[in-house]
Amino acid sequence: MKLINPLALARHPRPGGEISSAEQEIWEMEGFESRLEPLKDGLYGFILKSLGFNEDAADVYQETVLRAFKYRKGFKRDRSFKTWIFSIANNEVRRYFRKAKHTLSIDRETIFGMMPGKEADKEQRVYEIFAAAAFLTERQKRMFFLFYESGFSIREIAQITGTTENNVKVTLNQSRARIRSHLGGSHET
Amino acid sequence: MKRKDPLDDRFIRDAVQFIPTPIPPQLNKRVADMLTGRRRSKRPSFHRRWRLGIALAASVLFGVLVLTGPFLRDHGEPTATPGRSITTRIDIPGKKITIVWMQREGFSLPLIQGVKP
Repeated sequence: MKLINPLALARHPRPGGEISSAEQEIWEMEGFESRLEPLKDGLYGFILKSLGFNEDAADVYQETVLRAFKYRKGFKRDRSFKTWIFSIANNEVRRYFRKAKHTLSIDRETIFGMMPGKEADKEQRVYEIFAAAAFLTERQKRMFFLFYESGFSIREIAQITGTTENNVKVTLNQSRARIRSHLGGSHET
Repeated sequence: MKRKDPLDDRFIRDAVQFIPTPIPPQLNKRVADMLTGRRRSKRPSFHRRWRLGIALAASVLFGVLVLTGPFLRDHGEPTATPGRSITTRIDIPGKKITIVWMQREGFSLPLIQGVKP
């Protein structure tokens, strides 16, 4: 599908300044794509790590983007697009865990295969963190990776998950405590 | 003096972000094609594909049993009189499957009676 350049459309408006619904659609689509482009890797990373590097992450990512595209008219321009699309991803991850009856286990080979392979000590510590994160509850996982992987603030996570900031703080503290307990004494200095 | 927590935020963030997660090009292209309308059908989810696979395999197995029923009946165990059932036993290494052929007019309906280890 050939996309019309919105700038050209703006330079040559229709008589009377009206634009057709098809042109409006193209405007919205281009806006959607240009906003999504810089967020793709981060969005996929959040989903992939929340699902413990499970291959279903591709399906969840696909569903997230398609759902966001479908409801793009519901996006309020005064809100952050990043927060909006991550809230959809958060819901999709939650929906996935609700459907999945089995527990997701962490595959050591998969994780080591994705690492740069330069620092053996660090890679072992990274693996231990992900292995411990697998024991978090579904809710803890989502907030944990929104905070540590995607870099959202407490306030933004509260917006994304539809809860209070205090609730996010408590959940993150519980996540850290649980990870600490699973790591045991291996990280004591 | 309070000792610094070895599991501080920076440590965890470094560890979590240590693994790069670029979106796979195939997935990126697939989603882009779907957005532009070049691809309409959604890829079924893993669980759906798994269920479809099992259903397909079961259908094929059932079909093979129905089609090969008369052959097995003629070349296997003694032929039963029409309208009655006979039993065929298939020995697979490690397992023994018992199939009861319910004879009807024109075809045989196989019923797997039991799988014994």
